[in-house]
Amino acid sequence: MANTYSILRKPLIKGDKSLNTVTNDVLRPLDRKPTSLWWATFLFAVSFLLLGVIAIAYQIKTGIGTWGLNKTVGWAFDITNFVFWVGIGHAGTLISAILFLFRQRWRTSINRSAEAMTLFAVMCAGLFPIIHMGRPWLFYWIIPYPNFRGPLWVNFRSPLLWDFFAISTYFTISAVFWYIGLLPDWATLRDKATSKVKKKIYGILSFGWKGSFRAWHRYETVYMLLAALAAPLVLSVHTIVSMDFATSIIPGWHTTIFPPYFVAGAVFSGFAMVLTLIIIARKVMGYEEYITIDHIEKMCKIILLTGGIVGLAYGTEMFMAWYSVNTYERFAFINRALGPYSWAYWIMVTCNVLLPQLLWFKKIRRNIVLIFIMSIIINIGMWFERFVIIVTSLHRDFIPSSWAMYQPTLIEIATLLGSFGLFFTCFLLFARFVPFIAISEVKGILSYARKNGKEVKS
Amino acid sequence: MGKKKKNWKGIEERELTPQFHKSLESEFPEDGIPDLFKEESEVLKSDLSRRSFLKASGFSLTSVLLASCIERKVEKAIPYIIKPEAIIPGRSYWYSTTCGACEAQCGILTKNRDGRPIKIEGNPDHPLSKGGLCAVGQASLLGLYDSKRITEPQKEGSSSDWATVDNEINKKLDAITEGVYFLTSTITSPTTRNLISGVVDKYQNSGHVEYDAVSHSSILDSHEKVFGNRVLPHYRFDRAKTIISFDADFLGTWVSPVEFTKDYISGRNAEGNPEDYSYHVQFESRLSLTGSNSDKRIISTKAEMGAYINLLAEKLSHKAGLSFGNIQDKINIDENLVDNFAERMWSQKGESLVVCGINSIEYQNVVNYINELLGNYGSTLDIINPSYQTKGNDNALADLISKLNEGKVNALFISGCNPLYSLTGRSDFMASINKVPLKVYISDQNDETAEVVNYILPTLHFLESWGDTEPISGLVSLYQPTINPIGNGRSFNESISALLGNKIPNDTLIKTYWEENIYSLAEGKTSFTHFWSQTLNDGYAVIKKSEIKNNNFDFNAVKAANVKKSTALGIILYQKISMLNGKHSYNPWLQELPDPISKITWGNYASIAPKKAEELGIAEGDEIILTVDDVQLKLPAQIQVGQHNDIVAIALGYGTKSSKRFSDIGPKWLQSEPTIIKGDTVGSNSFVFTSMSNGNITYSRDNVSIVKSGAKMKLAVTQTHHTITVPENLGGQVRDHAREILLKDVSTYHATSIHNQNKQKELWEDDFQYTGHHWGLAIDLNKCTGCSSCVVGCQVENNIPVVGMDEVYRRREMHWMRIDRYYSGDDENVDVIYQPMMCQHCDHASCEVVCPVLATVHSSEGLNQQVYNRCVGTRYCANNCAFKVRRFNWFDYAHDDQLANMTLNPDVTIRTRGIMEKCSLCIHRIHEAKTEAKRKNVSLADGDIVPACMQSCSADAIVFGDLNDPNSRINSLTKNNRHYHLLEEMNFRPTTGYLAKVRNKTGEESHNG
Repeated sequence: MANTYSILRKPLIKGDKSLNTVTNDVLRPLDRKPTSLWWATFLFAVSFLLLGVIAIAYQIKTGIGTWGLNKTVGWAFDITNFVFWVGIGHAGTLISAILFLFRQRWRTSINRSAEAMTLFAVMCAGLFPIIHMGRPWLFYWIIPYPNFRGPLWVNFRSPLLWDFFAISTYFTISAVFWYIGLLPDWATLRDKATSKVKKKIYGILSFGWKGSFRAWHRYETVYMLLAALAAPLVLSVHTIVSMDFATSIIPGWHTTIFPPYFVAGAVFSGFAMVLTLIIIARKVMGYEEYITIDHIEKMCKIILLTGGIVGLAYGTEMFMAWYSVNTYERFAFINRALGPYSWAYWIMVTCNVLLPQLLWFKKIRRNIVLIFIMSIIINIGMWFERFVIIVTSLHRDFIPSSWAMYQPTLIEIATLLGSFGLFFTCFLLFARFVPFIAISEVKGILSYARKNGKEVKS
Repeated sequence: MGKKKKNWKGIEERELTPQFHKSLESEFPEDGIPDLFKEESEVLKSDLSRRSFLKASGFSLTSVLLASCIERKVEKAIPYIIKPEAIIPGRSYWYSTTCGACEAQCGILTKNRDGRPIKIEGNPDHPLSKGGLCAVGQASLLGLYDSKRITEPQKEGSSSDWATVDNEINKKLDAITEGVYFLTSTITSPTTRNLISGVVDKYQNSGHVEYDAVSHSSILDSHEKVFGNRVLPHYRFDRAKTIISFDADFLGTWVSPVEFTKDYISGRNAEGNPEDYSYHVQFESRLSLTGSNSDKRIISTKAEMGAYINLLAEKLSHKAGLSFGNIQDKINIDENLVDNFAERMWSQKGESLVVCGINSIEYQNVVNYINELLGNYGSTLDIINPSYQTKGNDNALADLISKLNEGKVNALFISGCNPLYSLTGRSDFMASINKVPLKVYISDQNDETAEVVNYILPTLHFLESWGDTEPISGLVSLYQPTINPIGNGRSFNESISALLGNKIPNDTLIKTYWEENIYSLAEGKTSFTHFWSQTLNDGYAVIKKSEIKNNNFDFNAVKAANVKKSTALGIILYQKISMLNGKHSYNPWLQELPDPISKITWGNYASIAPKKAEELGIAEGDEIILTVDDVQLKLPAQIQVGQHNDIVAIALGYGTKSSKRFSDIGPKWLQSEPTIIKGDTVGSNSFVFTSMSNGNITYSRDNVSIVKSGAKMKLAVTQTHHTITVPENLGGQVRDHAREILLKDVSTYHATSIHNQNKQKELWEDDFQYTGHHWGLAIDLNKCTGCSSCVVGCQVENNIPVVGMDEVYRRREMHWMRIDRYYSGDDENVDVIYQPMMCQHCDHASCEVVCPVLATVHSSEGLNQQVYNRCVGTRYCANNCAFKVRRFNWFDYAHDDQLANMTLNPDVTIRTRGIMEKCSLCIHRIHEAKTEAKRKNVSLADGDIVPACMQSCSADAIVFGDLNDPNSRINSLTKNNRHYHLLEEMNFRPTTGYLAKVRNKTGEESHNG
């Protein structure tokens, strides 16, 4: 353990934790029987998941016609949800990889849960491109592999194909990264386990972790390498998702600003979702000393930054539409702001640009209740951003005779709710069966800003 | 080291066992192959006695015999056991016959595949229709395969057989000496007419009443009055330089729209001398298809139109030095306008044409007077060789109704019309029809009339029976059966001959009549057989004209029409292009065909002018109750620009019993709504508002009151934004997709800007050169009238499903081609432009790059192709199509009706759920023509390939061809200065181009100049 400390900074973990208390604190939910609160939320989440499963089964059986799409608006809720969930999935990798590389040690309290959230969000996201197909049972046709269908190859010019690569790579790296980080904790669980069966299971899960110097050395090298590998993915995934739109010809989609705009938006929404989750989790699971108000404030600052980029992007889009003198482009943006879907546009602007400005104030940044509400508002705003980009651009494009309106059906709403059900079901299971905080990593920063393991009172 | 290295395949070789040596000699290793037949060989080895062998073989023999005795359905499938001569399965055969969908009697060709007609197309050689065919004609194919047709003789509502019904009817007729009436639609067949008079002549006080649900009787009545002969003139729009139409929708529904469209368009050649370009003025109170094509539209009520007619007659009579007499009830109208028209027409004597679609003898008299003064009889109106396309006689109908009331009708034979539906406005008829003891319906339609009659003698569809017709004097044509009758129907002629006591087959009846009466009029034919087979081959024959002797015009018979100005709201009833008088309301293709103006499918509605609607507080889709006297009708309101403020326009032909069948149409799912509630009809029957005045059926009413019921009704519209301009509050920018110019500017116009003419500098060289064919389309917006027959033609050709009202409401109609209709101008003075739109087959197609699975690719001949079985349905291509012409299969659209499936074109795949489809430029036709050319060892000539849309266009607005062929028609069109491509600046390089619309207007009149 490092014995340098700062008297200028506050410790990252409060409450004078010893190594043993950390282990006990983190593993406590795994040892005891689930609380009634857990059961209640779990059943709630599972029922949403079931609703989603039923909706998707019905939709696959009956046809995409059960969605509100039409000849003009070919994508709406499906791709909105897809981009929304991919965006949510951004925070995890950012926290675990980029903040790791930048030596932001406060990340250790939240990286495990943020990474788990990433995995579940990407699972939700990956669902939509598959079920939005007219013939989802043939989704594997977009995978390029030598096949017996001719062989028929895929179209490497199509951004949908790039999407497939981007999402699957991102999911794989994120999953591996998350799991590697879990190895020492599995070993801790194994060592603390009382029954033989548990010992066996945790032993397998920890890949026979011994805790030797060599194991730690290799572990940290791998972790570093994976972080370096995952870092560019944070930028690439949403860049490629944005290319679904940017490379098309539809006014409102066809803009070069999309990649940075989408990445910033993704981090923005991802952090908001992390906040939503951990604000509840620290309270319910009693991790207030691990995930402190300082953590929340730091995340608010990132939200403020990325929210600013998003706001700038909105303004730039508008400016470019005017500046380009492209009549279709101009119309697309006037129509966004003043057309039939203007309500969605102004929800987006309010939630993503106007309200987050409150985060300039430290008092607000440190107010748990307000931040919780803010995080939900941002999530709503970011969902609407994708809805606005997709639907308002499509519904009125070049030929006025084809202009149409879009309205979601019950099936689409149920599918969206179902994706939330899937997300929360997975997250609750995670909170119940996997150490919510990276024990080994937190132990590594216990001495941060402490003298002889004690908090320095100034 | 020194030892030679030895390789061995196995232990056997290393050890060099004797088995190894042996196995080397044999071709296949013995040990390696397991004996799969081991068990069997053991059975064979077992001692099978002769007795048990016989038992076993006896059993098998008997069971095979028994199995073969089971009666199985013999399925007729190709290949034929005995192949009929000249039939090659998989090849299509064409029969020339005549369209029986309405009385216009256009010449058609039917495409037969494997013994069944699958498509109806216009016969290019036919003198009247010249290859055109309207939407209804195209769609009437489905009538043949209508599973709800009556195919068995019916007696008092239950099935019977021919012998019984024939006997009983004949027995009943024998007991009658007088009062035998025929109530039919216009009969254009000379044979049928002869047969009917044969029956009618047998009885006293009997007659044959021809009645058209939408009557043009006043035109004939008026000619009887002024010329002494009850005839319908043969209108020649091609000869008229000025056309003034008073509410006659001659391009859409009036008398013979296909013929008139051909003629009208031939007089409007934008590239010709502007002096020869016809000038078309339309007076009307609603926006009709014809009005939307006119050069000047004058919105006026029926009374105002009367005033215009009177004034025009007065002005012209001054010029002619005659006196027209007093005009009573002068209405304030634009006198200068009339002066201009009078001046114009007077200077073009004999080259103008005034037509009137208002069924009022007073109006028609004055119109005839005008035409007479202008010397139009003999040039633009032919009454010496008149038309027989409509003969309905309202007075005769009125007589019949009074006889019915008096109970003087003992037997009534109804055919070709559905009076119990279309005479709902005549309560006296509806009440007295049951007084007739013997009512016989000779029809295959299970409609309102079928419910009240004693006997139904099912007839045949025009595609399955013989027939003849004489649409205009001097032109006869034949119907020939293209398929064995489906069901147990019998042709009308044969049924009549049975009434005469001697049932003769239809073809014999027609042949006999022709041999006796028509052959003598034919010129230059060596024998009747020759004449007959030639006519059958051509589909028509030109014979000696009848040359009717007319009296001189009786100027005394004409006096100014009475016009009463009504300030209250009035109704006018009109026919829709798709539904006409309701005869084809069973037809889902027509029900789902968007109206060219309102773009509404599935049902009728009350069209109200925007100002009036605002006044009454009515919004689009509000359910309103219209009341005239004690008659009420519930309809959804539709706000229609270009309509008279005091007029509510309602389409006829809806609310029929035949449309009750559509309660089941369309996909069913959680939130789907049925097209109609079970037992309901599509739309409402507006015939209830018809009335008689001055001896003619009137299709308008005054003093209507409107009440909003508070409910909302769905209008299934395929286009909801009606202008090419974006909304004012969103910039008000005018887009240039549908371009138009003034006639005077045609010679100096360049549709394609100079910037685009010099091809933009490309970043990359073209990666593909079209060295062979390069297919393309050119669409002349100036020729397109918006009639929508191409939409149906495309639907029939390409097996496009009907999706039902709810799906259309959700903007998911499947039509591969649509006709965009844009308004310009203000709410009252609107200009209309039609733009047929289908896949533009871009050489730089934006849809192609985005498909992840390569389901849409470009052909070496410039076609954008959709590979159905490769498509996974991401819909990215549809999103990325700037023209929004791609259609997605949201559901599995039903193909449950086996009989209706007979219309399916075997050359075109049925698409399953979840895949994208779109216009293929009729690629199967391209291949058919190529194969044919290859077979004949000739090269493809321009015009060999005709896609369905181009074929069906009565106005010749669509031209397909090879852009690489310097002599092709399309190449000359692409060089035309009116030619442009949509969204040129996007560099999609579409191979479909448009020619700008020309407006014969002065600068001030133009809205888009």
